[in-house]
Amino acid sequence: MPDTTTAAQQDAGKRRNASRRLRTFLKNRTSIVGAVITLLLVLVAVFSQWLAPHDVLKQDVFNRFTSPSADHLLGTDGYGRDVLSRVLVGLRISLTVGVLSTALGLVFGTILGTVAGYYRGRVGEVIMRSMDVVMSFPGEVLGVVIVIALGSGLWKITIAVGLLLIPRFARLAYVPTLSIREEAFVLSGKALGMRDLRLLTMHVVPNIFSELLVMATLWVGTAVRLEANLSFLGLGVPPPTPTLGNMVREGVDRIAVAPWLSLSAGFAIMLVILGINTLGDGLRDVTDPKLQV
Amino acid sequence: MLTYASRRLLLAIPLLLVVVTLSFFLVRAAPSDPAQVRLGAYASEAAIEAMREEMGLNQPIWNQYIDYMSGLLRGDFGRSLVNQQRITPSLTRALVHTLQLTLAGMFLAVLLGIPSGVWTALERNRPIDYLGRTLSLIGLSFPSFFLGILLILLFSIWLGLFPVVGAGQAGNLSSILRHLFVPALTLGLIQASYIARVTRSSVLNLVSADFVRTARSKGVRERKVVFKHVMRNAAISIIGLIGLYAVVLIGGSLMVEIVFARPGLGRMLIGGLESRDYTVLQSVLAVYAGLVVLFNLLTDLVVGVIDPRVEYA
Repeated sequence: MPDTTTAAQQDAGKRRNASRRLRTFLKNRTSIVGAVITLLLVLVAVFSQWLAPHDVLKQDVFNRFTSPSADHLLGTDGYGRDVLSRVLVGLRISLTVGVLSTALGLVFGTILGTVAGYYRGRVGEVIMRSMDVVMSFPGEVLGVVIVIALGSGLWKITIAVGLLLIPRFARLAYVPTLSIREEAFVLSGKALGMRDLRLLTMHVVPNIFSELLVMATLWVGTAVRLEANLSFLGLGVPPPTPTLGNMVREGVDRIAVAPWLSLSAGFAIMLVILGINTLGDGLRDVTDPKLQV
Repeated sequence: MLTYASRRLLLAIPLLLVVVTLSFFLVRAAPSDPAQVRLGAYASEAAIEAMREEMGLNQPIWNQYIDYMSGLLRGDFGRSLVNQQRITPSLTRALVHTLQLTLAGMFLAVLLGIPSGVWTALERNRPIDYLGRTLSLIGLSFPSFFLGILLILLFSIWLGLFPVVGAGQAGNLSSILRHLFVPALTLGLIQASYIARVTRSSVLNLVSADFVRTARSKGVRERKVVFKHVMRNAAISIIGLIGLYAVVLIGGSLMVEIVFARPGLGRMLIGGLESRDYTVLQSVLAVYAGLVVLFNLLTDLVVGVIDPRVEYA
């Protein structure tokens, strides 16, 4: 931007840019579909306690493995518990873990990535190489080991999945930081004697954070998948709390006689990830002008 | 070329060393104690102490580490803490099953993913493109264990075409292949979705490139433009990205092995976790990470072969 532009002009430019982005987003039908699916699922998850027709923990030994009916829309499980109610509550747990662990990965990944990109040299090298090492383990494999080391439970699962996401965000933050540190506003800040911490938090992070936040929505899908994988292996939030992965696992043995158990929980997981992925795709089209045509 | 390959190989060695070390210490960070797990909750202090001594867990951790590393250099993963069996033979057997699965999955993924990626790119914004993109988005969103269960329902329970569990009789090729097909398809369909997406976007980036327009305006036939000008260039980035997705493939294989009860690395990992068998765990972890490094190395080498611009020096 030339030196003569005023702050007001810059603001107007920013606003135009934002409305152009919003228009691109709204024109993209796929992203609308994704946004609608995601929004609906989030609302269902938030209000799951009230939407659930039955108590998720109430057992009924006379109605085990009943097929879908008017009273139990998705049938009952091996303890006679209502599957629909359990799917709704499981959805809330999946989304909670997904969002919180992504936030965790975003915050710590951004810190590590910007520090590595800003200082470069030995510090940067050590940070980024250790991120490479972590990423050379498949997420599922490392996740299993971390959960074993931490133990299970909602918070521990969230931390485990968050740890897996840190290197991804560190890489995303690292690359733009390398170029921002050479920008005039950073160099002049340095010349004025600003401290590194202040430069990082006031100039570097704000410039990359919006892009990172958009990428973060994409990773919520991955986080949900990792949580589902872990709870399918029996390492998630322990029973009797319903988690979607756990419900799929409980249904596998009865897949031939009571397929609704695994299928309803499995489709719920898929729908969450699909909604988030579709939304993320739309967001990426909007923020990455290179992909636009 | 040979120097390029060996240099690349040399660069992978420090990464592998770090990974093996990390596996060793990570496993030992787990809170519970293998001696306790083996003897049960009611064992006396003294019995547990004796068992720890027998398992070699009372040795300083650095001694254990040096023992492990020097064994590894001789290709020996040591003995299981639980049953004292040598790990290397069972690890090799498990690795064979996992390699069969991942390679077959990768083969199906390339077979399905690349053509559909090219097709959707050439049919851009037409019905085929929308269909292909929707399908690949759905494929990306399927957790591998759930897709596996759906395919078991379809192929084994409803159609009765393929066996559900296990890896087939050793040495009987048709039995192995019949047991391999559904799990490999599970992995392959998911991986194909990734490959179709990257193929589509790399082909799209190229169809509007100057040299493609030049070729067309020279009157080069469309088929030749696609295969010679576009595909040869697209192949490089596609193969590179396939290497990056190896992590997804191998992570997926863990889940698929559990669903289909295949005796691969995944089952060995879970089994080792249940008994807190440190030596088995650290070995399986190291092999998993080694697989990822190997896949990346292979794709780098393939790119080196087909792309003359890669620096060999």
